[in-house]
Amino acid sequence: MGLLCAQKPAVEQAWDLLAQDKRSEAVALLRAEIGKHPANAEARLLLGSILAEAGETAEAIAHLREGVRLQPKAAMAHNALGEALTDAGDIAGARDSFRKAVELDPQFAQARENLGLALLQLGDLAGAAEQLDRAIRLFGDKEDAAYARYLRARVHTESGELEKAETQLRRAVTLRPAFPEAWSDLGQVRENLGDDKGALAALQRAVQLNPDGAVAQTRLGSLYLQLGKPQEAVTHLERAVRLSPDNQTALNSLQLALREIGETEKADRVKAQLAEIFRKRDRASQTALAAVRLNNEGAELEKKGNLAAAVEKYRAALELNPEHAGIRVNYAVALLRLGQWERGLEELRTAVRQEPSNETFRKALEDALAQAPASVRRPNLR
Amino acid sequence: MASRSVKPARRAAPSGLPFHSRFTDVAIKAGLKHPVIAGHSDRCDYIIEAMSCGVAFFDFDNDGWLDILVLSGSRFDDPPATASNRLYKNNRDGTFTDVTEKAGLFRTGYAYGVTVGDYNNDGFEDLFITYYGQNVLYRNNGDGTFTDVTKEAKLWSDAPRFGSGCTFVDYDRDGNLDLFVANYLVFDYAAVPRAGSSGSCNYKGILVNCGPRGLPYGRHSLYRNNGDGTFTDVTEASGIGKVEGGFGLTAVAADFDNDGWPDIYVACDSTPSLLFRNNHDGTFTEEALERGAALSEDGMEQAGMGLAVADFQLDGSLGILKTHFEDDTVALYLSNGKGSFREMAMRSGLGVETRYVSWGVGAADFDNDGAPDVFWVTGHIYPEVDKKLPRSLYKAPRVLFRNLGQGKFEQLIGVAGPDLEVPHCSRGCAFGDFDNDGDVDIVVVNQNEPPSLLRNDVTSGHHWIKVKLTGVKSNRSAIGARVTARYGDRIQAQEVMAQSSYLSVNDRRLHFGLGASTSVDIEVRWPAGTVEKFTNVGVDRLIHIKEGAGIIEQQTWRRS
Repeated sequence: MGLLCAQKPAVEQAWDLLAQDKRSEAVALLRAEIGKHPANAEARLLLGSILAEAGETAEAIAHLREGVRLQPKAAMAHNALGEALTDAGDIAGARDSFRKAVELDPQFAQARENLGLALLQLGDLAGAAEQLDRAIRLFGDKEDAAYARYLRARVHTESGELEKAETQLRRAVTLRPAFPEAWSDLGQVRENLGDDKGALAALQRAVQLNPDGAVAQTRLGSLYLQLGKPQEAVTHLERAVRLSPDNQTALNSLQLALREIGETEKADRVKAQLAEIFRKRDRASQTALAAVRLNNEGAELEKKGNLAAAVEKYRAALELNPEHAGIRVNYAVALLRLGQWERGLEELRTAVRQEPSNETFRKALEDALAQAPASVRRPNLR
Repeated sequence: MASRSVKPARRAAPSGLPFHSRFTDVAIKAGLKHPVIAGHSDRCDYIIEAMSCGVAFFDFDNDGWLDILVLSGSRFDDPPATASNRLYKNNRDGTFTDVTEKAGLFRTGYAYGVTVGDYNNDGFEDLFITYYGQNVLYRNNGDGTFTDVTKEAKLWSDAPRFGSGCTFVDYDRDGNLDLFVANYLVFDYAAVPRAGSSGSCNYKGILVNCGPRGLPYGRHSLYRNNGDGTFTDVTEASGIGKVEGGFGLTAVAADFDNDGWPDIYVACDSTPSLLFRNNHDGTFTEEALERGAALSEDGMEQAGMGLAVADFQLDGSLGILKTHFEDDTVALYLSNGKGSFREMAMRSGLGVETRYVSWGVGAADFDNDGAPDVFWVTGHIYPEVDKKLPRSLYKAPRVLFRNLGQGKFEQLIGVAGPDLEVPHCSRGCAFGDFDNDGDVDIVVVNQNEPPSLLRNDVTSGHHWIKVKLTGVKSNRSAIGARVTARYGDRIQAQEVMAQSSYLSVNDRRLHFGLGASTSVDIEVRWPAGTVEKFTNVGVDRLIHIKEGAGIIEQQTWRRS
């Protein structure tokens, strides 16, 4: 067996290992192969795909980008990169990759579906509709088309075309009867169309197929409450809250339903959970505003030339709100102005990672790298 | 401000019914000329500039014709010296005269809310106005002038506050009007970043003024009227002070659970709204979440601004309609008659409109067909959106819905006259019959413009009745009195309130459209608790009922 494997190309061996559920061996093999042959595009693409599936997106994207560079005409490669970028939350980047994939292979239904989803997420409803319609045609009247129809229904819903959304969702669940999300959306759309009976049937089917679907459980429970059936509502809403403890909709409907059936003490406990969510949000808002205030004070100090004090204000602001990339950039620039190149560049890199599509941040990093002493530069912007 | 980012509900097929009401903006001709200052036309540096203010329809000189008090805000940079509240006296010919200075009401500053009521039971309507800084109680001297009696009434506060909603309410039913005051938030120039400054707050990528989120809640207050011209702060003793707060705006007082005692509801911005239920012993318990009146149907906080209270379902109980931010529906809380509510905006048809930031709102029977319709005004909070966000309108049209009955509403666009489509950035509005012609007109606060005065002309031939109440044992303004009208096969309840819409005050003569009915039975439940009934009352008239004395006056006006 070992001899046979040794004679096979590395990528084929990796596929064999994957078939035997030996993922880590496959990864090790591909890494070794890439170490020996960095231009092996297939190895990079397979390794990137495996890593993406395992959630190791940063390394996956690096391999897939290199794979795409080596095989620029491979639609599959662009599609794989798009999927990894989607996993990493870079939807705009993913859209560009999917677009390239469908340019290279206009009949690539999966890439069109992926592109449709990316466009939908980016708010381009017309673009999403076009791609999903083409994907649906390419998939044909088969189960594979169910997800594209489900997404197309979302576009219709976003556009206020509820009847059309209902038609797509009905088709989706016909093609794939065990599709709980589509049943759930069908229930929601029917409720919005005023068809409570149809909504109830669809939502019941959704929770039957997937009792752990918090969204469907919430929708069904809330609908029961609206229809004056608090006892039935409680069953589904309690399950929804167990699945998703911070689900405001479920918590609010549950405390109301419990009161209607006389379970006041339980209702009060649920209300307390809900109130705690509001308090947490308040605290977060207050912290965020305090960070902005400190940042402004830093900016004032910087204007007056007191850089060291400004840095302290920015640092304190960032401690309060580490997610605020703008404050981080101010902090970084002030550090750079103080000659603290390594810390400044590191903060700028972090800001770019926080907002990968912010061109201003990227440009600030490029400029800083251009001016930095050679000893502190690192070439990779990502 | 918080928005749920909801999609509008699907519009039902048009009913095809005619709507026999037309509105014409007659403000300029009527002499309402002074602009209401609220920041700058292209920016608001601080939230105190952006929230703007209310307006009151009230009869300050007891001549039987509605006068108008228009509040005004200001701005941080270059505040105009003439930016004052304005009192316009009704000349009884469709025009008004500005009597602000003569009445002693000229005052610059950031005014927000107004409540009107005869707190000293001397027969003349007094005013309480909330400010950023110091709230003011004006006693009506009965001779066309007012006196600032804030200090002597013991309503003075040494610390500046951001007063917003306020309403007179006789919460202990002793015949003296008490006072509830909401405070929006704690604001300090030194602590709040200015819009457009480095690191100011951000709305969809635009640098804008900060708040309310992130700023501390205002604390709401209740003052008991001692019956001698002074008030006692009973915030703690009454239980109002137990509530952490919420960014409170408009406050309404009405009996929401049909127990004969006034409750208080506060629209809260970006936080759960508040319902203080009256415990009949001088205390309140806040129960909005428990009663289903705090959040949207899907359990989200909304940017509560304005409130309308009406018998939307014509079942003798009062519901609440609350306005919110753009990309959100209004909330329609329909009552089960026992003080619990279900939010029904999407199911009622009101959820079709989500495009505008919405403020002052009223539920009144504009076409006199016998069911309350709904009207609200709009306008963005951030002037800066105009140039940068094509979907967000700083100035926007008015919104009108017809009541179709059975809890259903239908939006009317372009049906009730072109002046409703003219865009303004509006805040408060008040509802009342300024020309005494048997319908409901509307006065609207527009930011950095003069107000609008939307004269309603009804052509349906439908009948109506107006009920004016004067308390004797109850407070003289009869605030909190419940009038239930029975006409045809319908029943409708209304209450005399001292604030609603957005920080505004409506005509306290209650107006009932009656459709084709030619007589009406009227039941009055006075704040003190007694009930008086009047059967087979004639229509198309104002009846004046004095507590314990029956109908003391009837005025038959021309039908509009």
